[in-house]
Amino acid sequence: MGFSFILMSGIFFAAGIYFLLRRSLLKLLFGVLFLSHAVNLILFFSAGLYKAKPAIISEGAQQLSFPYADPLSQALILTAIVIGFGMQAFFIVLIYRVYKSIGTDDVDKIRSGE
Amino acid sequence: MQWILIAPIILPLLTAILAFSLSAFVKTQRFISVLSFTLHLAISIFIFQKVQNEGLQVLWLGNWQPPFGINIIIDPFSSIMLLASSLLALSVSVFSWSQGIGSREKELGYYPLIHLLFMGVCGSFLTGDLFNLFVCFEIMLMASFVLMSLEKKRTRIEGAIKYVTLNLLASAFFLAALGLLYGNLGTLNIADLGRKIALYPPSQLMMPALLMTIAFGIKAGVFPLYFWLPASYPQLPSAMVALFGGLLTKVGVYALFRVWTIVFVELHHFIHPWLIIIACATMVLGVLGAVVQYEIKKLLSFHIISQIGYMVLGLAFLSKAAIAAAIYFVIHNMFAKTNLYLVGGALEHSVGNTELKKMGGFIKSLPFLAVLFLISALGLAGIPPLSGFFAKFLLIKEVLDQRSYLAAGIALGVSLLTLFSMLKIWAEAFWKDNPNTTNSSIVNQVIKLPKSMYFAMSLLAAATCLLGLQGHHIFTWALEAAEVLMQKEIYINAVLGAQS
Repeated sequence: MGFSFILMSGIFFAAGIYFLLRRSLLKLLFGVLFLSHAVNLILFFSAGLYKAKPAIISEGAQQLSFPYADPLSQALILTAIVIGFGMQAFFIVLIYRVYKSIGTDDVDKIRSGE
Repeated sequence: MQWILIAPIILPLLTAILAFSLSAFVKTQRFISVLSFTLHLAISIFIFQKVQNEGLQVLWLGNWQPPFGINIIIDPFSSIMLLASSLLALSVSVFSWSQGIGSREKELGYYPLIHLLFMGVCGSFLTGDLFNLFVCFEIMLMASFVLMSLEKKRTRIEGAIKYVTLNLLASAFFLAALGLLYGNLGTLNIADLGRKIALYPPSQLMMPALLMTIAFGIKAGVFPLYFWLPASYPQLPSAMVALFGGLLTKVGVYALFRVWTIVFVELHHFIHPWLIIIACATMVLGVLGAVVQYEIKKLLSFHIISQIGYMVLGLAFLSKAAIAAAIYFVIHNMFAKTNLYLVGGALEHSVGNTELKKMGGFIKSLPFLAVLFLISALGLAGIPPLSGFFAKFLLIKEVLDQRSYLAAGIALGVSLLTLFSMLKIWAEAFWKDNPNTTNSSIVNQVIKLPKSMYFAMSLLAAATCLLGLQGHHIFTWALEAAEVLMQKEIYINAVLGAQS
């Protein structure tokens, strides 16, 4: 199962970078979305993937026995998703603003700074 | 009194909330803003002295035992950065007291946003946890995104989209690095990472180390990741770009220093040659970009990049003297560069644009501004006894000691070009006759600038002079800061306790 997650994250990264390199504003947004999903996946499997092994000390034992799903990385991913959500909401509005101001979807029409 | 360590983060947050709730009263907001930054400066001085007297300060939030909770840690490096940033933020806030930022932007929330931005900056300096560093970066970025797109002007929105996209990419890389690091080592506490890193083979850690370097490199604006900077910064109003140029890129540099000394120092020899190449390319390309510009804010934006190269050069050599020189350089650069932006803003305020070709004769109409400009410009170029001279002297001496003659030669050459482009501003804006009028009676009239602007610029110019004249003291502090970075056991033991 681990390998399929790695593969999926890799595909998301590739798709994200590909979309970022396209000339359309909307695809820029897709690129950012794909990248953030790819990264969230990395965070998700960074703690290892174990089925039905909550991080709870079983009765009578003194400490956790080894295979368990690390809850910390799930807390990290939640934080990352919330931050990413805010960023993307802002990004969508910004893209709309740019579209209104340059009147086209083409990134090459952006001229500032040259 | 240990709670005071978190005050530099809480205070800007409370101020931002208060200012937001008073959004209809811009004049009250600016008063609160200046008051809050003054208080912040006082707290920073207090913390700085505390660190000087008692050594590293650690605060465990929520009393979670190390290394599980998130800790605030202030070592000499972060306390110096904190002090410099709060002085800088205060002067920018004073500068924009009456003019310098459009009234529309002030109504839309300029004051609350600069406090949120500042909260992110302070949080990045104080935190002892890499994930927390990420969160602070995002706070800082979000505030800067909104500040950047406050105005509907076309050029500004178009600059903002480049800035936002590149920074989101950097955040994604940073977060991916955090995921890989946590997967390998099971911790994100900087001190704990520093201790555990030696147990793992370098090949396993190269990927997160490089991803993190790219992410911080984008934020700092090093070659070849700096293209967003000259595209977006010059579109902003001067007070805002002074704050961005003074603080944001330096936070990237701070993060680079932190991870490459405490966390990844075992891998440093792999990237040592690359860092030298990157540093030299950043210096040269930045200054060449500046030399051809005739627009003040664009010229200064390219200079930010060029100066980042010097700091990275210090990191590349990773000796105590090199790191100390680089820290001195960061502080010097924060004051000198911000003040140059403010002078540019004052010129923009008095003529209405920033094209050097359309300016002239300001030495007669704004004599005091000319003095302030000259102090900062010569300081930046490195003329003794101003701060830039000592910063460059110490850095280049160390580079020569390590027998890297080519890098030293490049640093010296770039410094000459810096002087050249500063003198270009001097000659065009101040020295030559005003091209717009032939009637000399108008030209010689003294233009009135708001007193608040002069006060802010004098504050920073005084800091530049003091940094040069008291160079010995400042360098001693920088050496102390470098000592903690070079001997990471001091940092690690302060957080986790001595190893059993």
